[in-house]
Amino acid sequence: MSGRRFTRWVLPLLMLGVLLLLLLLILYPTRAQQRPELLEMSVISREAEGSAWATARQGMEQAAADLNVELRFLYPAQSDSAQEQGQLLRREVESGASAILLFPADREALAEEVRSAAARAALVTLETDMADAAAYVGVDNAALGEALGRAALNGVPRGETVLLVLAASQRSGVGDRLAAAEALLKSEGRKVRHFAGTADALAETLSREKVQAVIAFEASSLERAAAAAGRLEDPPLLYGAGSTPAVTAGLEQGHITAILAQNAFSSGYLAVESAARLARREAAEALEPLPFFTVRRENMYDPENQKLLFPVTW
Amino acid sequence: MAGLSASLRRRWRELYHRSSIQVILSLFFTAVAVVGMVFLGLTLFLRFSASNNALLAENSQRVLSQVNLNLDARLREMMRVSDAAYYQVIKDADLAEGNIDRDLELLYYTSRESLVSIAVFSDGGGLIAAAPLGTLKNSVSPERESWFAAAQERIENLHFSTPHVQNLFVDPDYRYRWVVSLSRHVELTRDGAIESGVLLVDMSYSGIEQICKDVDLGAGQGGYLYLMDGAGEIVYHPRQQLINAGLLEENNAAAAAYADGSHDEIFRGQRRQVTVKTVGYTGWKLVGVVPSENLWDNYGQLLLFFLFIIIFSVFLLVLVNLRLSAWLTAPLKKLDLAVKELEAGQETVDLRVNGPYEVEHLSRSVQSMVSTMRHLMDDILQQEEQKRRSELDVLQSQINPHFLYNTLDSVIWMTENGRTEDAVVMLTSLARFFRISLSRGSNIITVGEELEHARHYLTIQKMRYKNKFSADISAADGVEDLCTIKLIVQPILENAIYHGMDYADGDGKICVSAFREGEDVIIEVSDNGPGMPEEVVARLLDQSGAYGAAGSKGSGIGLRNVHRRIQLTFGREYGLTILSEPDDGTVVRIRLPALDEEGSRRYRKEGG
Repeated sequence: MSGRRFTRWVLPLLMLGVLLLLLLLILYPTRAQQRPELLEMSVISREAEGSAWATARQGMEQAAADLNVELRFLYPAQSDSAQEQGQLLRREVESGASAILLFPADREALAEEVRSAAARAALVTLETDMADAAAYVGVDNAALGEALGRAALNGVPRGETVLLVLAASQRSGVGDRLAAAEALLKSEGRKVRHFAGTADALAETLSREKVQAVIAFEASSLERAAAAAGRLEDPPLLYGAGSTPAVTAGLEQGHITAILAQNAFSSGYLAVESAARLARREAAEALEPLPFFTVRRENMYDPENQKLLFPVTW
Repeated sequence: MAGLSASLRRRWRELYHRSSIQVILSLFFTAVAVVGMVFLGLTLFLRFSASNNALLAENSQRVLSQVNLNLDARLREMMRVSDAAYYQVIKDADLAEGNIDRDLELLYYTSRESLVSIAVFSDGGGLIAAAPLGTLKNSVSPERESWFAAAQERIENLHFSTPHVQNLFVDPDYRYRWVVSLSRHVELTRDGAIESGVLLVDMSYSGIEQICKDVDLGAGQGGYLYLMDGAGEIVYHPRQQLINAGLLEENNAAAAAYADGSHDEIFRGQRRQVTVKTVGYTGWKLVGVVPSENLWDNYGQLLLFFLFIIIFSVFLLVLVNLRLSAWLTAPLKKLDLAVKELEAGQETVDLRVNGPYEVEHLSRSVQSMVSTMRHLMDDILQQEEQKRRSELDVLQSQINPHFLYNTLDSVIWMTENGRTEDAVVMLTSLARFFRISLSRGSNIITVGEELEHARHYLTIQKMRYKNKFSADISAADGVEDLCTIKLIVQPILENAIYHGMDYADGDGKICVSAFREGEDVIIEVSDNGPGMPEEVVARLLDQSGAYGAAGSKGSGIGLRNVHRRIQLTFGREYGLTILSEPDDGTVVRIRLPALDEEGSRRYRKEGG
């Protein structure tokens, strides 16, 4: 081929080809960038069934839809079983999950598993903060415990007794709440007793012993306490954290004096968003502890509290 | 600014003058085509984006109208239930005679998919009848509810509430329902007496959600629809939970002030097209939102694609225009090349060019012009040659009249004095002299003939000057056969005799010698006369004619004639050189090219 023909025809055609290639290269990524790649995320619950955090799950599902995440919900056969949670965690990491949400049942029992999992996946905890997890989404447990203790102070004279309903494990966020409340109550001159057991056992204890107030630090124990209070003619003041339908019913019926509620939808949404950002190595702002609100019977149907306690479901 | 403009104009002119017609044509074709394409493309693009926006707005309005119809139907259904409860159940019943629970329950079951409850309250908020749940919670006071107050304040109207949790009735399953309440003032009959009351119809909130969800706004552009009341309070939003949780914000407060129609707004840095439609009866507003960023993303893609198409097109245009202009300008280039060859002096140049009419005409004109020019040049050359020859002839003819007159005068004088032999010798030499002068009309003779001619001349002159001087003529071997123009030695001899020998007393001497010097022939004429000062020597060969009039004695016209003839014939490197010093004689050196018979042919002018 002569140089003249090359310059006249082949070179321009080659340049046209290069331009076409550039066009395709420029157009292609923008289309691909519109939606991130599907991310698989495992959610390991603390309880055997998820009714207590149904609202948080709604938030997670909303975030999953927004961020192209596929959620896999895993429940231990027995509630608050750190051992089972550890096994589930290990299994998910080995099966290649790139992001995991965990409601830790026991901080110390899961420490090793969490450290190992956090090295291989974006691990975000809810309810209980853990040192090796990439992020924590939830309230400041100590502050919430203190707020519950402070709420109880008003109705319990100095020297009287407050019953604290124990969590399954004290080495969790719920345990932190209890510890903070107990410290405050003791510092303010109130007696503190611990209780662990069913609603019936609690009702019996309350009918037998002189207790001015009861504090439950998570939704299921608050439900049990409300049920126990409902059976008593003169129930003690009952304070607690959580906002299930049974809890709100107990609040409305007067069995529960006040609750400290957080926006569970928000915590679920933020947890998935945070884990997805970490897994995709996107820039994420440091998460602040979520706010919590005090709700009493008198204000439970205020518009803002309606939104907090009764999530809109279709 | 003016300086920049002038600089640009100057650069353009430089470029214009430096560039070929092909490049200029290509540039102009491409520029015009690109400007046209850009103009057309931008017009189409702007038109497309404007009509796309209009289409989107139209689509939003159409969708909103459809949703409005559905919502209106649902609200009308509620109103029909309310009307039925009032006019068919409550109006006809006397509460003292029996309760209306069963009738309300029947009514409830006819519309149970969209209803949560129907209830009638007394003026003081007491429950008169309700379906499906009939027990009022201890904790509630209906008369404090906003829907109750609204019904009592404006008794002629139906009142729609914003969504709220239905908390009136005891539910053993602890269910809570989000509802929209329709309340109205009713007249109750008890024992024939009329008393006021409030009828409440709670519509399931999910009914509104079913109408509003999955509404496609903006053809996959991320558009959505929400519903708010007249004050801007959100009734339905597809992401209501996020808004309630404080994770998302909506521009509902500003949108509440919008009139029905499409609006552009910027909310939290995002440009959006917002379409508003007010729902009848309720004063609620349906708001359709289409993020314009997505539209502009698409427009950006389109613009990018458009730019690339332009680059492609420009590239192709340049390519095609270069070929096209090359094809158009090829005849002109060929003509230009031919003219350049002509300028370079090439004799045979083909000026015929095939092409458009104008170029062919130009080619024919140039051809004709060249032909005319050549003829003119030939004519000029011919005229110049004729002129030169005439001049030569004139110069040559200037020799003869003096000499002939003087010689014949001498012959007469000799004959009268009885010197017949001398007269015969003189006449013989004269005859020989003229024979060589004529040379059958040829201007070129051999050096030998020229020397012979000089010898005869000297013979005549020696007799005339009574042997005041002697002469010697010699030639180197082979020189006599070389050629020269004729009559170049005699004028020099004439000069030597007139100026050098006039006062000689028998001791005058003239020597003529011919020899070769390289490629030249030198004929040297020397005398031992008085010689000349330098300025006279310089004056002798001056061609400007500033010195001396032609024909006057001592003017040196003979020498100048010879010098000029030699230079006219052979070139400026040939001619005479005079070497002279006062009292030291004079040497005149004639330089000629060494021409043999063959070489002299080009200078030869044959006479008849």
